[in-house]
Amino acid sequence: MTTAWLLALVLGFGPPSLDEAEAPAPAPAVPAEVEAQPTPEPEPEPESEQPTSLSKASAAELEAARQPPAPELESSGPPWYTEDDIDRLRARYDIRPDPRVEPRKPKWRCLIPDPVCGFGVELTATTAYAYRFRQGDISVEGAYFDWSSARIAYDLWVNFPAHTQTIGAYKFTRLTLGPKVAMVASDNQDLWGNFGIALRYWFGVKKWSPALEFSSALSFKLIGERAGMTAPQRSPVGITADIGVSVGGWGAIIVGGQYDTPLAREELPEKFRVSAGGQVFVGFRGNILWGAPAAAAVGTHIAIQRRLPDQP
Amino acid sequence: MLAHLLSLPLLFAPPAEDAPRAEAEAEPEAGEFGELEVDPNPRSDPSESASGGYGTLAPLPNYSDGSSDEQPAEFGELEPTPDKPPRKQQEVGFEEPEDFGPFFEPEPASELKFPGDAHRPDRNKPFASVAGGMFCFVEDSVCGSALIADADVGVGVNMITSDRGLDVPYTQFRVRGGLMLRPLRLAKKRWHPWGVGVVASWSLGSGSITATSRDPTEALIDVTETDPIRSWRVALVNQIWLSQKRNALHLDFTLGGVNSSVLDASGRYWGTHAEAALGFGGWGGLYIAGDFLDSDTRVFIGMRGHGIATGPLIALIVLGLVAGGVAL
Repeated sequence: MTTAWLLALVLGFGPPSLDEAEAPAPAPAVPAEVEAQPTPEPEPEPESEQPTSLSKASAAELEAARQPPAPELESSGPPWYTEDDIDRLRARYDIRPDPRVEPRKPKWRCLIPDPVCGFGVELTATTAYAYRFRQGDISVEGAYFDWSSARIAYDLWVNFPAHTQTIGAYKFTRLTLGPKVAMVASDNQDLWGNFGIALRYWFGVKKWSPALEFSSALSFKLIGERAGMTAPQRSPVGITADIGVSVGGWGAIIVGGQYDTPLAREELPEKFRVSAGGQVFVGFRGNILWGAPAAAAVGTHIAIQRRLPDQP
Repeated sequence: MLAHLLSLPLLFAPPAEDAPRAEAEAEPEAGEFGELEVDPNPRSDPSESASGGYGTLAPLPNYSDGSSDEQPAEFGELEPTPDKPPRKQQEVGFEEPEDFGPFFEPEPASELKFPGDAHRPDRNKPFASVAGGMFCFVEDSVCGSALIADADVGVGVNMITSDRGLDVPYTQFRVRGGLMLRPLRLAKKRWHPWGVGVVASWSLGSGSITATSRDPTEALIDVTETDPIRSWRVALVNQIWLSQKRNALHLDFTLGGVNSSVLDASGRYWGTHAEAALGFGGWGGLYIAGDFLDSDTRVFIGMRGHGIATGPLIALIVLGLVAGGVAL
C-alpha cells in the first residue's frame, strides 16, 4: 500500500505534457548520471542562438532562411544522387563499383565501325587474290578450266547493334548484324551482284580491338563479256561467303569463296546455258574512307582488265 | 482512506488531452445540423513549425512539377511568392501515339547510351536534313518529306506466260528516284507512321529467250535471245514506319506501271509494277518486286542502297572498267 502511494505521488509531480509546453528546445537524451558529471562547457552553436519559432524570427532571418535553397533547387538537375550516394547504394547491395568510364570519341564520327557506335553504315573495298574455276563442256571428259585472277568487291554494310555490353552508364557494341549489298568484279569484265547479311563480333571495346567478320550473300552475275561485247548476263542464284579478322574496323584479312550455280536445263540450247563455276579468295577488305583499300581495289581492277587474258 | 490518497496525486497530474474538447462540449455551438463534435477548421498556431524547427524553415525539396510553386499558407502570408511565367511546353519529347502498339512505340527512355552517339552527324537532327527534318535527303523516321535516290541489284526469274519462250533467270541493275511525303506528320506536327510518295526507276536487265517464230503451232526449237531489257517504272509508294527510332525499319508498298520491251516484239508496252520492301532507315532496303506485262513477267528480289553510299561504289566500278580498257 505504501508503494502504491509513493507511485501516485511521483506521478503527480511528473513533467507537464508537450501540448502545454511552449515549443521547448529538444533536450538531449542524456542519462542523469552522465549529466551530473563535470563536463567541459560546450561552445554555443550558432543554431542555438536562433529563434525557435517563426514568431520570434526577424524578417531578415526569414528571408535568409528561405532564399538560399531556392536557386539550388532551380539549377540542380538529374542525377539527384551524388557519386558517393551511388557508391554506397551499390555497396549495400553487393554490386561492384561503378567504373565511371570516360569513353573516347568514335573514329570518324562512326563512319568507321567502332564499338562505341550503335547503328552504322559502312562502305568497304576488297582486293583479293582469287583462284577461279569453271566447268567446261560436259560432253568432254575432264573439261575444266581454272586460272588465277583477282576479286574486287565494293560492299555497303548496314550495321545494327545486335548485342551490347554495358560498362558504367554506357553501352558498347559487341556484335553487329545487318544487311549488305555488294558489287563484285573480276577479269573477263565479269561483274556480280550480291546481297545478304553481314556480322561483326568485336573482341573488345577499345579503338584497336580486333573483330571477327563474317558475311554471306546470294550471288548472281550481272555483266559479262560475250563475243567481245560487254552485256548484261542472266544468272541463277549462287552463294558467296567470307570470314575474316578485322583490326579496329579499319580493315580485315578475309578468306572466302563463291559458287556460281549452273543453268543447264535440257530445253535450253547450249549457247544459253551457264556452266557451274566459282572462286576461292584471300585478301584484304577495308573501309574506303581512309583511301588505301579503295585505291588498291581500283588499281587491281584496272590491272587485271589490262593484263589478264580472256579466259574461256 | 486509500481512495482518498490515490485521488490526491491526481490533482497534481497534468490535464488530460481532451480538456479543450470538454470545454467545447460545455459550450456547444448550436448549428443547423446539430452540435459539432469536432472543429472542422482547427486553428493552427503560427508559431509552431510543421517542418520541425527553424533549420527546416525553407520548403522541403520536392522535385515533382508544380509542387514547389505552392507555398504553405503560413509562408505565403509572410511574403507572397511572385508568379512564375508559365512553363514553355517541350516540343520534343515523349508523345503517346494514337496507334499505340508494339510497332509504334517511341524509343524507350534509357540512361544507357552509346558513347559515339554524341558525336554522330545525325545526333541532333536527321542526317542530311533541312528545316529541322521537314525535308531529308536520306529518309528518317522523323522526316516530313524525303528524297528517294538509290541503286539496287536484283535477281529473279523471267517467266514467259505464253509458249513462245522459256523461263530463265533474270538479273538486273536499277536506279530509282522520287519523293516521299508524310502528310499527317506535316499537318499535325507530330509523328505518324504513314508516308506516301512517287518514285520512278530505270533498270537494265538480262534479255529473254524467245522463239523466233510467232506461230504457236510450231515447236519451240529455234530460239533466240533478246536484247537486254530496259524498263521504266512510275509508281506510288505507301509507306509504314515501324517505330520512331532513328533509322527505323519501314514497309514500302509500291504499285504502278512499267514500260518495257516484251520478248522480241517491236515497240514498248505498259504493264503493272508492284513491289514490297523492307527499308532500313533511308540507307538500304530489301525488296521483292514484279513487272507484269502481257506474256512476259519478271519477278525479282534484291537490295538497294542510298545513292550517297552506292554512288561512290558505282563510280569506283565504272572507273575500274573504263580505265581498264572496257568499252561500256
